[in-house]
Amino acid sequence: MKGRALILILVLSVLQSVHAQNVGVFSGSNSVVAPTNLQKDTCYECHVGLKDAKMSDPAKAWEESVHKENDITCERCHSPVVPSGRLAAVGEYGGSYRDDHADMRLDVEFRAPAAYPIEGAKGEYTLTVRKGLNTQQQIAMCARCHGLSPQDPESPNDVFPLYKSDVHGQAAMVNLGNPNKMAAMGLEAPVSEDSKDAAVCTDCHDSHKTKKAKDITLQEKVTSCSGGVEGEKCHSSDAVSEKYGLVNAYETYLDTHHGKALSLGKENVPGCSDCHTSHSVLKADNPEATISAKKRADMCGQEDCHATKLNVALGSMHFKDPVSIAGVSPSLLIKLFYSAFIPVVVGFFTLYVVTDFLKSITGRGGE
Amino acid sequence: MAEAYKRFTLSQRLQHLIWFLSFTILAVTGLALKYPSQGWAQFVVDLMGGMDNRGLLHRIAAVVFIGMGIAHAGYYGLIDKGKKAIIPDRKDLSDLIQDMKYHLFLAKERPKFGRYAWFEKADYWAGALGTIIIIVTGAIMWLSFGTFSTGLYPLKFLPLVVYDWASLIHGYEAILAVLVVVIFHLYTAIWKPGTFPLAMQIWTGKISRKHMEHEHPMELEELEKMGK
Repeated sequence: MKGRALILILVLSVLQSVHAQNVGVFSGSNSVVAPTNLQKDTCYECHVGLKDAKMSDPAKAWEESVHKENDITCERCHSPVVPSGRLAAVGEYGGSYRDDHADMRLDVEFRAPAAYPIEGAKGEYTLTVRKGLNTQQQIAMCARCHGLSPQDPESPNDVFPLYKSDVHGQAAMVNLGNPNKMAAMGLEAPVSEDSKDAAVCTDCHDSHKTKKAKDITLQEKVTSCSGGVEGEKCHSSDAVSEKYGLVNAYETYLDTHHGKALSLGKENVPGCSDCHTSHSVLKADNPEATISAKKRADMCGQEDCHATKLNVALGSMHFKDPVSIAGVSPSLLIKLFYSAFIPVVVGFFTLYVVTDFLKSITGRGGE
Repeated sequence: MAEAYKRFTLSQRLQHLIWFLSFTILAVTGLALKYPSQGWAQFVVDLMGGMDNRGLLHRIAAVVFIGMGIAHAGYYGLIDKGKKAIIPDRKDLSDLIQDMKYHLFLAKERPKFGRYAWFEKADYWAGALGTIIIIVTGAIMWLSFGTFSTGLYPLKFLPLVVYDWASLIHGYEAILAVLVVVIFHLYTAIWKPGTFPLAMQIWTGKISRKHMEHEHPMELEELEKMGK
């Protein structure tokens, strides 16, 4: 009897220990038994092994990113946005662990990884994981390294200054949250309500499988501008296009020789950013735009492309006929003509064939 | 009374063979580019070893097609000065009306045709007109961005929109040509009862008396008058 009680106590102790490790419950007021995976040194080491794909996929995607190549780890983006870019140190080991992702914030106690010494911290600190950022926060997050008070002198620092002057950057500088804070970060004041439409860094470079521009394939470039594989977004959306006075750029691009060749696997054709640039996108009516009437001929005539200055001022790579005859474009007239002519001709011959066949098989016209 | 009559010369049969082959290649390689999102288009391009080969094949076939057209027009326009049975006349218009009435059960008798029926002439001349349009528009597209290695770039002078219009017309003409060939030309050459599985006259050059009686009775009468 005494032996059975001992075994029962032992089993209960083991179960409690396992449970405590799995859910991360407190074992005392000032100490914590964190889940085993949280004892690992970095976000990556924990997340990459999680069974929930939603949690592990970002870590796996990061493995293939340019950020991994350059030791830019999760904390750099998911920590609070602070100009220094350093993790917020809180000092003594203690604090709390809340398994609560509902508010998209997870305050976790971490051991300070040896690889990330925090000045002033006593070995441990609190990390606030940031998720669900709005447009401006996303831009600010990348801009911290890529042109706005760059933390990493090796990173491409010319990107943000270019981006914030282009059409996407201008549209994104809206509802910047705390205007004073954003102004202090060098971001301009809101100009319109279009920020949700604006392309931000991660729309093209991916948030976790972040790529260098040269590693983004032609198909990926075009897919990014069309709003991703789901389509009907960004430049493949009629509603968005109409809102900004544009043609459906994706649809009309696919209708050009360049777009068709891309669809059929040709790789040395221009995608969107080859003509519009990546971070200095301007509208065609802006004389400084690479696609402006003034500069278009130079762009198409680059050595790697058509290699000579062509008369492309009166034309459009998106089949928007710039010519009008009595208010109607010749392209539209051509389409209307053949849309009527082809059915008439084909219908006539189809009628002839059907009636001839019937006459023949009923013996009223056969040999 | 002959059992078979000569309908096409060897030269005409060879012309047809060359046009048949080049037209088929042009249609397949061209329509693959016209409808790139179709699965068969990708299959065609892969089969050819990629887009560059597709383009090269399309241009080679175009050169053959155009060359054949120039030789054909040159011979029958400049060298052979004889009467051309393929030239349309007033009888073709009345034949067309009468033939349609017959097919729509509005007339009991079908018109009697000579060497070429109205629909054969229509097929020929519509094809010729379509060929000219498609050659001109194709040449604009081909040569605009650099005329071989001559250093000529027509788009230095012509606006880009001309290329756009040429591209539109070229595509529509191609669709029209393919539809007419598939629906009408192949019906008369293959599917028409009494012809199936294949009209051999364009391959052997000979046409049977039975076929002459049915399709070209006026020509048969003339041949018999001439004792042939």
